[in-house]
Amino acid sequence: MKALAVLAAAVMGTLGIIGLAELTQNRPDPVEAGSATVVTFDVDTRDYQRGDGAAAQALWAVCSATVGGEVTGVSAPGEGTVDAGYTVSISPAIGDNGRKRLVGCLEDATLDRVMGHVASITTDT
Amino acid sequence: MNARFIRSILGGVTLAASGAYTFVYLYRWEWNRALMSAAIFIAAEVAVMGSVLAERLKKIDKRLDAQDGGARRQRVDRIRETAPPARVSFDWLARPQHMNVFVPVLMGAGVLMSGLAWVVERLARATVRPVAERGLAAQLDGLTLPATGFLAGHEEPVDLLRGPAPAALGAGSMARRFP
Repeated sequence: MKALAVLAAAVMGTLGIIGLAELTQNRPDPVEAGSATVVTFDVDTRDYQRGDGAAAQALWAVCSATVGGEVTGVSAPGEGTVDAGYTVSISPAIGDNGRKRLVGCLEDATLDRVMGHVASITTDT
Repeated sequence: MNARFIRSILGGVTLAASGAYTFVYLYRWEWNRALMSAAIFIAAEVAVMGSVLAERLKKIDKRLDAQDGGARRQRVDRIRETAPPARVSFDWLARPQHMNVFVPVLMGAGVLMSGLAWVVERLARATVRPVAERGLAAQLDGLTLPATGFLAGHEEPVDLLRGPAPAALGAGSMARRFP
């Protein structure tokens, strides 16, 4: 009985490690020429001395390194738009792995006193 | 619901949540959050382990006390049984009703000490004065003037400038200091 429990624990541990490795593994995404990904995100700051715009630019300067391709600067939220967030564009479009890395970086505690939140990620082919 | 139960619940929930969120954050590629969650998991693990070990030690301590209690009482009884009877150096002091013996003892001792002091005082008065007078006279002997005077023995008045007279040299200790 004890050996069976040990065996079950070993199998569960192995499967967990393999599953976690599969979920967190980094792979190159297929590149589709002429496509682009538009990311809209917002920032929440707490006692950040330079304002939300500077916080968004600093956060994007750090997190843009997690994806390849050409990236644009941070566009200020347009007035009257539904998604009142900061917009950046990446070309060619990023895949699932790039999306995980980018969202993880933007929503992680990457910068002190700055918290990002991704509103939408759209890909134009 | 005692404190130990609440502590166990809090520790278990903290362990489960922090451990689960460590993997959730890893899946989301949020490394800073994963590190923080892992740190909380380790802290909760240390706290839970400390609590469990403290409980185990307390149980072991109680068990050892329970085992050792009977043997300890037996040893104490054996020591008390084999102890020699208490020695009484002053048997008459052991009885409180005989404490009034101190009054005549102290009075007798006071009379004896007074008599001894009287004898010592009388003896000192009779002996110390002659001895002290003789000693003082011997000390004053050096201050006596020369019997023939300071001018005796000088033939010429000019001799006085050369020093004291030879007769005065042997007269006292003050004069003997000069060459």
